[in-house]
Amino acid sequence: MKQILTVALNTFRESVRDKVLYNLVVAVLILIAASLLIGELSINQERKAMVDLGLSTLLLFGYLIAVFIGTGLVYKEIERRTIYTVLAKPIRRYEFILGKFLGLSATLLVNCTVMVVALIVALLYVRRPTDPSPLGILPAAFLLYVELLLATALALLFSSFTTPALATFFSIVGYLVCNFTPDIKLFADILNVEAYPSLRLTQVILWTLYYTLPNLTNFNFITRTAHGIPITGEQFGLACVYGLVYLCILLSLTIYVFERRNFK
Amino acid sequence: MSSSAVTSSDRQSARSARRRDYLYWGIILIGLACLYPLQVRFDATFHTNRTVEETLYIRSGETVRRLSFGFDGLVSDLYWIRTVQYFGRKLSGGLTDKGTVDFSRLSKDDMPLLEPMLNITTTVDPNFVAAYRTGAIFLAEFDYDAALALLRKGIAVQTDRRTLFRLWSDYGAICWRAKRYEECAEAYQRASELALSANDRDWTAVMVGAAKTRGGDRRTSYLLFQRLRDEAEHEGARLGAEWRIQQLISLDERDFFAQLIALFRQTYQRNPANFAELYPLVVAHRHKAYDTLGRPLALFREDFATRYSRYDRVPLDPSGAPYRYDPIRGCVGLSTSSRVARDQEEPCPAEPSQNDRIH
Repeated sequence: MKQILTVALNTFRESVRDKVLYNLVVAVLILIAASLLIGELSINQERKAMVDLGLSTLLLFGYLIAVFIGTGLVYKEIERRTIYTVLAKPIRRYEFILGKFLGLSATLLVNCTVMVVALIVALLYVRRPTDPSPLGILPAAFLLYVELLLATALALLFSSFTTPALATFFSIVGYLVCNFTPDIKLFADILNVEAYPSLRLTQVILWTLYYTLPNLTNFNFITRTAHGIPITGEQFGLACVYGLVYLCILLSLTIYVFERRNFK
Repeated sequence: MSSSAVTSSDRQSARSARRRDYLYWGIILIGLACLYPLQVRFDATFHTNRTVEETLYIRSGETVRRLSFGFDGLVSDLYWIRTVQYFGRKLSGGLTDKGTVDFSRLSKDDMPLLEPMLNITTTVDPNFVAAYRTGAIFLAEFDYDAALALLRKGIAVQTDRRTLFRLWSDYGAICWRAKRYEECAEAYQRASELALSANDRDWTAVMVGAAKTRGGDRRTSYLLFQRLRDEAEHEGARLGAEWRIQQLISLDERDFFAQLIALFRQTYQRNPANFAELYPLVVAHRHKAYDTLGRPLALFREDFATRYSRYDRVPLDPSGAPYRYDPIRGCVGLSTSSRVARDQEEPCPAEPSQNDRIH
């Protein structure tokens, strides 16, 4: 455990040294500018627009960090050959991967926390008596953080066996595909298998894809939160469990690939 | 090489580097300063305005939703802001000299993108209640069908009772403007059933009755307003119902007067000159005066003595003001001092006053 935390701490420090957290300044500026402008443009929809914009910014910046940092995490160590030094120490490969994951997760946590605090302050600024509490965005923000953890794990998986450029490409495509999963099911459901039995196989493949690909829409409650519709305890709990299960799958897969990798 | 020579060479190279820096910054600043006049000059070479034509590249809300990749809330906000800006910009075409908007100067064709943009906004974010409500108000200025379709779309996807109440109320209001009274009454009836407070239930119930009255369904109006008068929890709603019942009674009274005038015309081949001339017929036939529900009309029965007490035989309406008789058209209407509700198309409108004619 100590080794994991050491790697995690170093990864976090590396992110800070790489000035990753500078994006926070941009995000906060966007929020402040938006809080001043949107009220004028949206006809009393300040709160909705602020929540949409704030949480979308959190997701977008978080995703960019997860993808661009996550995809280089392992590759950079191999490229610089520092992996030899690290693995020569009493540290196991799985500890290295988990440390890297936790380090980047900590960076994302700091990122998300600052953005959420800025968003809450902005919401307090535009708040009207009938508006729901700004703290109501916390469950949605937490689920977005879980989504970002999944993105990090996915980027780390790609990073463990390919170059950063390809890993970035795969991660972005992965994000797009994982946002389409409800449409995959819709497509499967509307296939007329009674009239065309040959489509049965396609339907089964589509259903399999729907249930096996990470369904990122499970974590996206931005729009509902913007309307003040609360996330039920069941929805929140199930989304967290789903995220945890998928994280275990992705991290196990990453460790499996990394354990078998030959660095010669 | 001596140290002084080295220092001198260093100074020289530092000076040269500084000069280069000045040069770079000079080029950057001059370049930036040139951009504006160059662009202005370039734009001037085009004969027509280069402003991008108003176009919706994607008209399908479903496609936009799919392409939003999880940022559907943000995309719907962008479309909503774009809709508001579009509507506001187009309104300038209907501005009068006084700075107000004259909607008669605008038509549906002036805002071809309004409906598709609202459709996209509400498809990308089906919970965007403001887009349904405010959007319907925008659309209702030109196209009632589109406005009502937008509200129906919202009603179909909403489950929250308060939101549904608001949407049905808006639906009723637009139907009222469109003079679709049957549909209006039905919408307010739905709203009344969904109302969470007694006040909301009462005013929507008043609107059901009012719509029925306007739509010509006087019998239902009577029943609705009587029930509301007896059951309303708010004094305001009760008084409102009383006021509407008074209107219905007055309409029945005026109908009876119309029958008597027709009878007079049959006999004398002319209109009566005044109420006094009609009075003998009133006395002869007043036992036949019934309201829409078949009950005797008070004016011609128990209130006859009090409401027909004027020396000139001008009867008083239910609010206590004298009825107005127009001998040229042969019809009975409300006087200007009357407090009877008159939102109905007036069957016997008052002649414009002398002052009005001068203006």
